Amino acid sequence: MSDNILPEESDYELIKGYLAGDSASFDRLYERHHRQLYGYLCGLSTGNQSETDDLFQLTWLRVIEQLPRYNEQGYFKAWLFKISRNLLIDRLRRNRRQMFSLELDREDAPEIETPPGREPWRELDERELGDLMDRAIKLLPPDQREVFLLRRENVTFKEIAEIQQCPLNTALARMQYALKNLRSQLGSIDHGKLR
Amino acid sequence: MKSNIDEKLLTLALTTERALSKTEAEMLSGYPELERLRRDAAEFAAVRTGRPEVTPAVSERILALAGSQARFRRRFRTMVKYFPVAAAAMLLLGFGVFFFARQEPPRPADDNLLSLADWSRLEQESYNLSLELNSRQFAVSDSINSGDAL
Repeated sequence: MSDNILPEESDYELIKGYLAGDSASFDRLYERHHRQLYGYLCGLSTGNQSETDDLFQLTWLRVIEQLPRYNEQGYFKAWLFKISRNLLIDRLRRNRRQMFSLELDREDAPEIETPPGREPWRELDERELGDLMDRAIKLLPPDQREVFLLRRENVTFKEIAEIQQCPLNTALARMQYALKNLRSQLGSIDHGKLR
Repeated sequence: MKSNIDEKLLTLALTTERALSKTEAEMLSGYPELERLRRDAAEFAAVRTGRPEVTPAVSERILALAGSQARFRRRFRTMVKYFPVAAAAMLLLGFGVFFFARQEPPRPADDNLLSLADWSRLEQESYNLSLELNSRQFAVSDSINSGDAL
């Protein structure tokens, strides 16, 4: 390990640099967060890729517009994901789609009983498992799906709670339910298909 | 078959655990059931069909807009920084133009005027010649006029 590695700048330092006129600071900030945001939107949005691209672009345009008003309270990542989430909800309201429920606090996913002692999903190859996992994730209730997708992008539970504007324990509970439901769904696999 | 996938998932789960923030790790250490939750999450999170990539054109648009905003801020800051100096310079310039434009040209002194007696000989001859030329021009024009009349 080299001793000459400089400590990484914080998000707030990059934002200050950008607001002072340094466009390279914004490039570094974007590089740091754009993949996670895109992965999150891909998993949460049920539209095609062009719609995901549009939402992604709109999120960053809103970020650029509101950065002068950003203060250091809270995490930049949570703020970024919150903007994206609100834009997604607005779009779904406008399109009057029902696939994303607005009652985000309900925990009413039906639980499928897992056959005891059986984890057949471990016997599938990686690609099949990945496909099944994606389908199973889309079957989760919206709030659980969101928590799982955010966690998959290495967003901490504290940040998830800030994004969803709920207590930390609620975010943890949603994750617990999500994993339980995923395990149940994958456990009921018959010949590689979800029941 | 099972052991290969398990081994892969375990490796990825361990990688994910190391990536967790210190704060979260401290928080979870007090809750055994959450520790299991974290391991399960890491295990499931490791299985995915491939990370979706952002369309390059979208990234370019976003970075271009941010760049133009940054340039505008830089120019605005420069303008604000040098505005007092520029304003003072403009004020001085305007004052100077105003001040010097009001001044009248100097009146020639009376003793600078030459009297006829002080003309030099050449100047006197030049005057005489031009007087003769003018009188001949009048004579020519008179003869032309009288010729037209005839």
